[in-house]
Amino acid sequence: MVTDLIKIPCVRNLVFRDHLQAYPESIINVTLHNVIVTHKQPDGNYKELWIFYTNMDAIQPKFPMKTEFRSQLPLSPSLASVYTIVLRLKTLETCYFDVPVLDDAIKLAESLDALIANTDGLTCDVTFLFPFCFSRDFDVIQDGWTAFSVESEYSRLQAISDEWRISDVNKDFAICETYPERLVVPKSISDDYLKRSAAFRAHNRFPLLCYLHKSSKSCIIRSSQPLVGPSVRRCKEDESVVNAMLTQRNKKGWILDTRHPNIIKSAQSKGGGCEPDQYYALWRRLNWNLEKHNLLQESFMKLMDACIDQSEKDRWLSKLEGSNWLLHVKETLKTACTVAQTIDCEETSVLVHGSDGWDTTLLVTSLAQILLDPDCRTITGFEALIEREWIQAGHPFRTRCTRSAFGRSSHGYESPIFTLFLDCTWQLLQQFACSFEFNDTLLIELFEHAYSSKFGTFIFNNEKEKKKYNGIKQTVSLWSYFNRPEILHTFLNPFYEPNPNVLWPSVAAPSIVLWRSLYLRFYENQTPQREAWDEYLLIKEKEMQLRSYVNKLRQELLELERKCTEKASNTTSIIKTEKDPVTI
Amino acid sequence: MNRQLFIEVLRQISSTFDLFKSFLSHEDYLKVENVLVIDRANNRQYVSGTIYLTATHLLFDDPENKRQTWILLPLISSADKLPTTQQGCPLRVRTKHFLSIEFIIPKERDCTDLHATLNQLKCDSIEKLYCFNYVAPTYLEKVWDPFLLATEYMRMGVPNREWRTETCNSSFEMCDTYPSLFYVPTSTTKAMLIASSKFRSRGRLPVLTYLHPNGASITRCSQPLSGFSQRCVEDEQLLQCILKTNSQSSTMYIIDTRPRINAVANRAAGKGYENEDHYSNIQFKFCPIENIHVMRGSLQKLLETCEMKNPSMNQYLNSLDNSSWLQHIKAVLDAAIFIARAVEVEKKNVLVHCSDGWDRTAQCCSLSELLLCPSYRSIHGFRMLIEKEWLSFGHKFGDRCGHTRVTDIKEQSPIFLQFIEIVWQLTQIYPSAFEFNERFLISLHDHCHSCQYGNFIGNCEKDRLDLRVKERTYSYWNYVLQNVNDFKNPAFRPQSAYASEVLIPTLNTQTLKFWLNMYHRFDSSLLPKENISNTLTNLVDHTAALNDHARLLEKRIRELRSVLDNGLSSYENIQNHVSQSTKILPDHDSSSNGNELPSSTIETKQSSAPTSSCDVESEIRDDQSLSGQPSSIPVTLQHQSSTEINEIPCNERIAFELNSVALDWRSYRTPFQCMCALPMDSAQRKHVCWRCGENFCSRCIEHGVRLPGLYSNSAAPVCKTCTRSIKSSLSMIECSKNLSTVTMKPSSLTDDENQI
Repeated sequence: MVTDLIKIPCVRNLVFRDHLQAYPESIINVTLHNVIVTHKQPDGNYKELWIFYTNMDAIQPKFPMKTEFRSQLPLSPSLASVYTIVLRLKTLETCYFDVPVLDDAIKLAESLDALIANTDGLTCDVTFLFPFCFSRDFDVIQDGWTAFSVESEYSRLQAISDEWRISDVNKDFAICETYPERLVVPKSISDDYLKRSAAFRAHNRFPLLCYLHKSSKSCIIRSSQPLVGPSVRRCKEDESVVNAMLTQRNKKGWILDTRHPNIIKSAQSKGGGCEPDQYYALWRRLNWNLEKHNLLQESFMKLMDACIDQSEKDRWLSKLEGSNWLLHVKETLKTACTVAQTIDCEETSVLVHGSDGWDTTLLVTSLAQILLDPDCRTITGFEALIEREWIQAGHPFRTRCTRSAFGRSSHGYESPIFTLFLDCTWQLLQQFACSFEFNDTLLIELFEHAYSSKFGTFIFNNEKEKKKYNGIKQTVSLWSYFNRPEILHTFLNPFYEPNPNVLWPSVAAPSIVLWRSLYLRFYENQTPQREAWDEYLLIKEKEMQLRSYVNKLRQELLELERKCTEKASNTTSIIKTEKDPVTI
Repeated sequence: MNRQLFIEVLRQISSTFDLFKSFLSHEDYLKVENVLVIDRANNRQYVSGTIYLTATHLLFDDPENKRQTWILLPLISSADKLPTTQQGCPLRVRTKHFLSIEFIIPKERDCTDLHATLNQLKCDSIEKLYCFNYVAPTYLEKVWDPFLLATEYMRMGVPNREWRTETCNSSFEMCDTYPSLFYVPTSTTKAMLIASSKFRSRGRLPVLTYLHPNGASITRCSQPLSGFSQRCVEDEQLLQCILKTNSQSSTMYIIDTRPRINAVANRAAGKGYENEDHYSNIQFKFCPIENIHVMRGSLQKLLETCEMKNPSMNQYLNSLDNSSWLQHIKAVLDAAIFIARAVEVEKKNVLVHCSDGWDRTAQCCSLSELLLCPSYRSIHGFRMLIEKEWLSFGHKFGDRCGHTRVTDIKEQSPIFLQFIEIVWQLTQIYPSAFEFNERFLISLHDHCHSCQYGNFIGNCEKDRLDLRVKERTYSYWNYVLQNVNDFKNPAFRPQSAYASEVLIPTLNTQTLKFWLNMYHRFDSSLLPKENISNTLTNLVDHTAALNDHARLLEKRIRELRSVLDNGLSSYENIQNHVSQSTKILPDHDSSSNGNELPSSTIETKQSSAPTSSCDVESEIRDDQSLSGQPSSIPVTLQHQSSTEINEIPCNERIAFELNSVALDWRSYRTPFQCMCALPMDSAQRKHVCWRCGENFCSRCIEHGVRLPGLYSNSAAPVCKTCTRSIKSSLSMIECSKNLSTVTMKPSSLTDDENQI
């Protein structure tokens, strides 16, 4: 029982601190899903802060926890000595609780520790998580669960090409557990071929269309690695499936493997590998060395370690360099640019895969779409992209986001892949400040919801799981929450001017910069930045108002002018008789 | 980030190359053809063109891309011949505004010639600096609006009971690097000052530089000549006098902005720092900022980082870190924050010095004042700050920027650049607290080096007086004033909570950013492709244009209404309509921009009142015109040549007016090329023609055109095509005016309304 884990339900009279302020005489209540911190605001009112266990990343008590050390501590600590619990949240915030009584502090720390472990993404019972208890407190304008359907994607596709159909081959997740039930596949390929191809691919993730370029009709395809193995097996159906996606015009394609050749070799010895040239003669191969999920996690942890380091001794830039995070950002963007270049300039289709096809593969395919497709740079388009390329494509959000930058789970499956995607998007946003309909608030919100959320959008590993736990009925979609005017308008970029072109960002080292408004947002005062942003909004609004006002005036003037002409021709004779001017 | 300097040069010489050639006598320029330049973004690509070397500029003309690179000779910091390669003889030119360009010259002799000439052209005497020959465009006058140190001190409430003016330096006999008057505590005597001056390095005795409203002050001086045991009773007394000016604290700070070890080392040379045993009630503190030589080396490394060809992320960060540039920036800012805190929070007097008191002291004093006093964050106030802390108190611009060939290279140091960069870092932390923008800071930096204006010539006030710069040169501040729109920060919010107060930032090492737009400004491929600050400037300009146009439309509507209603003779109707339209008008008063045009509400109210002379006047004319020619109403139309008021048929006139102002402006992204085929990158300042709404480069826009669709009679930026079409329409209207039977006497209508 969860209630057994709560060793102390309430601690009073503690000091609650974050990086910018301290609130004495705060109270902490430990409940089933969260702790509630009641703290006094400067204006005298009390405010409640809810911290969900799903949002707690790591707990670092600044005192010995084990009983054998307790004897070493003074029995009755003076007021000056307090016992600090440092709570690191997945949203990258840090909270400090200065508890005056050691016994309370230990009990609190132990309770929190156990409760955090209880929400681990791999082992916990999903239905126990808060999204299953959350009841909607707003009116839904558009249900997020049904907002992005395969059908609507398909109709978009049909406008470009009629060589595709919707297949029910994966009904009840019969052939692939991590793909959605309905899929868009080439018309020329029968379901049987797909089944065979699925059997030849890791986790049955057979090649699937993810983007069709309007001008060149070349497409981005993603899959998992083929199960070639040491004996170099072959699957003719799989070959037909990928070949069916080549364009008529350019009968050649690229296969972009996101792994280093050495890794491919070792994968091959374990039954995986990559497409042998002799069987995939129409395809040329390209390797990019994108790091695996566990290395990214290490990098993310080092990055945040550098970001929260307040000491003067260590050189910040060398710590930043040591984290390699910006290197990963740069490499990812570069890979996405390569894909975009192939699609747009060479007019050649690209098949992207790594090993499982649900981590770095998605990173590359989704970023390439942002570069290529102006629709993905709108709010709805971006949501659709995440729904399509991440959620329905089976990125295991629950296991990947079970820990953020401060914690480590026992199984080591956590990884900031989605964070890296958001960071790369932000890099594009800051290089093309007027080409995106949204601002970085949307990206930050997405980051937070991916790690800890009231909503069901990011708590499942794939569509099958969502169906199994009846997620659509039992939880609320994040998109339902986002797509309401009062929320949407906070995401709007006042400088947005639709840009129909393909984006070619700079991936040179000086152009890649740290996303301060995410990583440092709790460690630097953000008020001046927010105020400046408000000012930008005002400037834009004023311009818009004035524009429509001038437009109105112009119409009015032309109308008056017309009347004048009419009246003048009607009344010429009258005026001629009344010659007296108006007296002053 | 912008090429303000080039734009300036272009304006000044000519927009066409032919004129430029005639500007020079034939033997005055050297020409080298078929020169290759490596594109820095793409190592394998070359552009080929011609180098022209004139008395003032090095010009690289790339005819294929229609791109010209102008380099003002005083800005060239070095020209180096590199080992000959297959393609030719490379000559690398580096400038003080961070352009690094490698010319590959086919013939070695040409390269040697060019190299030698460039070195010879470097100014060998202060008298020959560019500012003494520079001829500014006509809109700039050789007027120096006088800066009086006394006015600035008056603003701080000095002289007062505690502080008095001291004039004993009126002919620089006491200290030649100080201003001719300075401010000292009232309780000091002349003897005390003279003795103290002799005890301080270069005679730079402690004098007042800033008085905070709470009574705490910042004073500045140079290091004392204390050596190991020397003391000066008068200097000690002077410090006590300073301490006593502030009754709120019994102690004061002496900030030595050097690292302790440097200060100690100076004692061996008979200099050093104040001995706390001799100076009572003193809190002594070292703020470790490195000396000019370390800073020069650090900048050198920083620039090497910038010149790296395709560095990997880690190489780049590593190199940036090794330059220690941001650490030095932080050290200076930390010291400034400490001083600001001491003055604002602890309410203590602070005496700041370094070695000679003109480098680190100037940085720390000016930055802490920028934090303390909101008025220094305006463009005007910032000028005052620079005039006071840097120019009056003798920062050696001539030596530090290396204006002439004769300056010792060891005297050069990026002290002022660091100051500018820290101001930029502050604008990043507080985006709406400063009236000026990044472009202004960059322009200021460049003109310290360009020697185009006389402001930053020489090493102290005395030098500039001796050189008579005010008579012989143009003032930079005049240039700023003329282009003030380019330099304004659209997000400036002077009344916001934090901007109106003392700024005391909490500074982490993570806070400081690398200034891409300064050091990489010529690598346009590295810069963000779309730039928010340019877009904002564009929005603000568009708002101004629309506002002006709206006021004219309102007026025309009123006029037409009165024509219509005249027959019905119903005044209420006008008033109703007018008040309706006023309601719809966006609230101009709530805007935070100080440069807003006056609200039209007042104006409409006045004109709807029957007693208003102008309105009545226009009615009379309406009657007359109606009686004469039914379909016409009087016209007030100004064009650039005269303010005469003409009459034309109304339909034609209104269409003409509507045509002359664009409702929508082309977004900033769309043009990658100006009409003249000049490629433009995101860093360049684009100009929008107010008539057609298209984007143009600075060469294709004219600034002196008055648009008939604007209410105010001010000149607007208009492109060349539109200028021509406006001029031809105007002459057409002239013709129709002659045909028209009714003419009106000129009236003062427009002038009256402009004053409202």
